[in-house]
Amino acid sequence: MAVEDVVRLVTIAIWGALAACAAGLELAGRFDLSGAAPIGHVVAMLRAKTAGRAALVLFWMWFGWHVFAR
Amino acid sequence: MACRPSIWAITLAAGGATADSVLAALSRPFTLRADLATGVGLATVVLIGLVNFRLHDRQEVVVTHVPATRPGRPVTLAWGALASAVVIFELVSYFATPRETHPTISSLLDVLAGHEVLRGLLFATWLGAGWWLWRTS
Repeated sequence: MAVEDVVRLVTIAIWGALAACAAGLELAGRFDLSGAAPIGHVVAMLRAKTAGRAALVLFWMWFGWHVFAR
Repeated sequence: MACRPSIWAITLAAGGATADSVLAALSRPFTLRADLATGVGLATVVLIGLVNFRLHDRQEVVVTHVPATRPGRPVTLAWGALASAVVIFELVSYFATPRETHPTISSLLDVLAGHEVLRGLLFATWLGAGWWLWRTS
């Protein structure tokens, strides 16, 4: 196996581990384990502040344009 | 008194979002059609959001945005640490080359968005998320 293939696999594995962490935190929040909260509550808390909502809207705009248009 | 959209407005918005999602599903990035589908969706959600905000301001509605169960500091820190790790690894991958060896979130999403049905569903979810961000209640 070439070095590039190993690096690619490691990179994808790290992305997978980060996704698993997010899923774990989300599940812990949904089942109310260790005082955790689902991502929706954290985003709603950010949305409650004008600056937080503005940042989220800007991120939403950039994300959509980046993924679907350019 | 809270401003509630009529059933006609909701039907029109749902129909428009579906039509735009279909257009996005049938468009490839870096084309005029993709620019149009994304631009129209983005501009419409922002416009409706701004109008909604103005209507609420005029009616002097006291809006409570804070969720009933406000997350504590450790929870916020945990999600913040994870978000930071994602951003750092995204930047590391972005500046490393070639892209095939160091995939970013975008390049992984490209695989998902390469399928028309999945791209349409992803687009509809994006529109829904935008609408949720602009909501005033």
